[in-house]
Amino acid sequence: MPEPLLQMTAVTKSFGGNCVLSAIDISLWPHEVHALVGENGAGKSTLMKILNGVYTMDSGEILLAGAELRITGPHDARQAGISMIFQEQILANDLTVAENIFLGMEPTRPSGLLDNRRLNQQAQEILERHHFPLLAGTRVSRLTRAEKQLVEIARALATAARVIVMDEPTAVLSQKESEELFRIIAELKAKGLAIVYISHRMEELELLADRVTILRDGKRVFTGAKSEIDQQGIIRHMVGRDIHELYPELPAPAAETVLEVRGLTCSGEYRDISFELHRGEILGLAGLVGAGRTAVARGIFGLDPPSSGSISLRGKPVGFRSTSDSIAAGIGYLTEDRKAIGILPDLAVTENISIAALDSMSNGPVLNLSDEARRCADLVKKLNIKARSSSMPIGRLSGGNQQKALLARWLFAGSTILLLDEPTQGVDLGTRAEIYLLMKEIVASGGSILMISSDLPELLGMSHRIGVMRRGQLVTMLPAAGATQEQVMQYAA
Amino acid sequence: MRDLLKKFLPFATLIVLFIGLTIASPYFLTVGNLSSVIRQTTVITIMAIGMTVVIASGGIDLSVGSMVGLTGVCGAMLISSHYGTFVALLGAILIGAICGTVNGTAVVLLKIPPFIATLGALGIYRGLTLLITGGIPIANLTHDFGVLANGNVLQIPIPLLFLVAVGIGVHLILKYTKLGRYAYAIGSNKEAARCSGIRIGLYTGLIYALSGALAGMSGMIEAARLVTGQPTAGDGYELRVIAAVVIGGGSLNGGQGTVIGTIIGSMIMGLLSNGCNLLGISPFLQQVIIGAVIVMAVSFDEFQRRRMA
Repeated sequence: MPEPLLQMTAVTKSFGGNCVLSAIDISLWPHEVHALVGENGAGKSTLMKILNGVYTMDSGEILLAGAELRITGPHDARQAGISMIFQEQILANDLTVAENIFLGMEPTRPSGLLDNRRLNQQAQEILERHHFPLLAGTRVSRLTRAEKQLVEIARALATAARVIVMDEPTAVLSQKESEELFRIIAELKAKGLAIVYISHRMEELELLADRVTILRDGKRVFTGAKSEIDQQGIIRHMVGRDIHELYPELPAPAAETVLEVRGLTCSGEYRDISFELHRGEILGLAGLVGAGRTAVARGIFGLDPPSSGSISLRGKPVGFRSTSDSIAAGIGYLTEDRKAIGILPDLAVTENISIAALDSMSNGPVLNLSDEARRCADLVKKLNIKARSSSMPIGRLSGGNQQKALLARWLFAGSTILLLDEPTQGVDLGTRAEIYLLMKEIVASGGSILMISSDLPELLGMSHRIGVMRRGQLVTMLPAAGATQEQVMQYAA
Repeated sequence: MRDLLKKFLPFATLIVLFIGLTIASPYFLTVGNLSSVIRQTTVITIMAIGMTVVIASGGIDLSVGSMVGLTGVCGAMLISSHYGTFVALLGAILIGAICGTVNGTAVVLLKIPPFIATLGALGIYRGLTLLITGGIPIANLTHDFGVLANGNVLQIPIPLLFLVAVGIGVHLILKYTKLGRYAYAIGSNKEAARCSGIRIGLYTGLIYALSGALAGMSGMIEAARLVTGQPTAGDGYELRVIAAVVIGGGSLNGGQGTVIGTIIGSMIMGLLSNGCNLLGISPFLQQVIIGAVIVMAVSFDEFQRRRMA
């Protein structure tokens, strides 16, 4: 019997008395895609960060091809041929694509000086081999989020000899880029690598996984071949209960138009965008990354005012030059980039929730803190935001709970038109179901939602109508009922 | 638990320092010595309280020391034109606020890093002060002007009263007003603050103006201490001010800092230098000690942050 490529045995880890992993066993075989699933906070990322030397385990053992492997830092992991694509992007923004790909293992000349020519050449080779449309010499700060993700992948590919860990690699990728990634994964698998694949998207597990390990609350609750378990089974193990219907039944929207956009144009981003959003409606906005969907939302919200076109709210023309105006008019924008422009990491959960509407709880310049605490406590309870205390910094919450707190920000502000940009990105299944229910509740009580999403099942399941954008233009508007993923993709690509 | 430790470490350091000095020197715990420590540290502390707000918002103002010189000289000129101490004090505060507003506006409109904008302002305000006075101190002022720095009310030094009022005022601003909340928000994540509808430009201006106004107040107290408008007054104060904020838990990355922490930070520095004097430690070595304390305080802070993350 051949032996596993890599074995982690009885891995245990605590953070400040909080046990996050208890005696986890996992083994990786050559030629396999091993899906690692679980809710946020179940310990998936921690386990993989231990494997990659970001954290050190309290106890346990790692065997590489039968021999004990000591990992005391990221360097050891790379030396052993293990690399990881992290969920949160960790690129040096001021360096070039090539410099990032080879960061920490730059090719040198015999003299010890850096060999920049070889660096660029090798980087460009990697990019071309995998059909990434990037130039090695481009500064990373000029790339979009999706392009940065490709750099992360290229960096992992540059060293991965045995094991590659992918933590939600498709979260910011378009359908097409994701497919490219799946092709790469198949190639790596054929070469004999083991791939650990962390994802919340069931379709991807269905497509890629050979074996599945499920973690819940720091314990391993299932390991087995993908064929031994169905989607319902995975969900049951992950959540610890059954979730029957992920997408709730949406009530029909009213005829009244609340937001009307006509000929909205912003040079270089999007042009001639026209649509109406009705009271009680969820309008999905589909398209590839870079199609201009986020720019449209930012334009409506007043972050990057459009160069021409008109926006009317309930029949009245408006043109927001700043976010304070649009927020006052009842618009809220949930960003796709939680870390960069969403959370205020040092501020308390409460303070993050109230920040967009301090006027509603202040007397002149003086804040009414007890009013704030009461209203925020209601929202924390209603949205089931899990925090040890509402006064702890939001930066220490899990991604899903941060996302719910950011949604609560707009509920606190009483926004009636919500622009939700990838509302469930990087959010686990249980939280996803909660967010969907909340969206239903918002539209049922007369709010309206413009939802940008790259998750096709979500678009089909949670919208009344779907607008599809391609290269800055709104190419079609479909009723969601009866639409198919293929149909939407056809317009988008 | 770690939160508590982080919160109380500066305070514990202060207490240990206090007890240590009481044991080491018989002169330390005397009314005369303590009130001279207070008079020496008040100016820095008041400025540091203003700087706390700037640093919490992710900014920095290197020109506050130069503002002390400019506002002190302008205040002294008002006194010598017989305007009275009160008007002169208001004038100095106003000029400080204007200098601060100019700094804030430069940061917002020219979109240059605060470090650079206020480094320029440091030179400009000091140069203006020297130009106005021709480099000559403004002396021969009425003696009741000196009361601002050297007088007592009910045996409490007047600068201490200023400090208490400023401390309470800014503490309340940080905790209970939009300005305070927005300062932390902007310092924590400026883009997220913008997306939450905060008018970054307006509030940045107000924050620098507040710090400038307090530098103006300090400039007047400093002038009163010497009963002279010294064009070189406040030279190098900015570094001591920033050090006080940082020792007290402020972070140059923004989003952190409290008035209490800053006051403690400033007192730690004041006691260190007073203690060194009492124990006959050379002033050269003092600088080494204070420098080391700053580095230790900040590295401890970073260490805590990393363990909690």
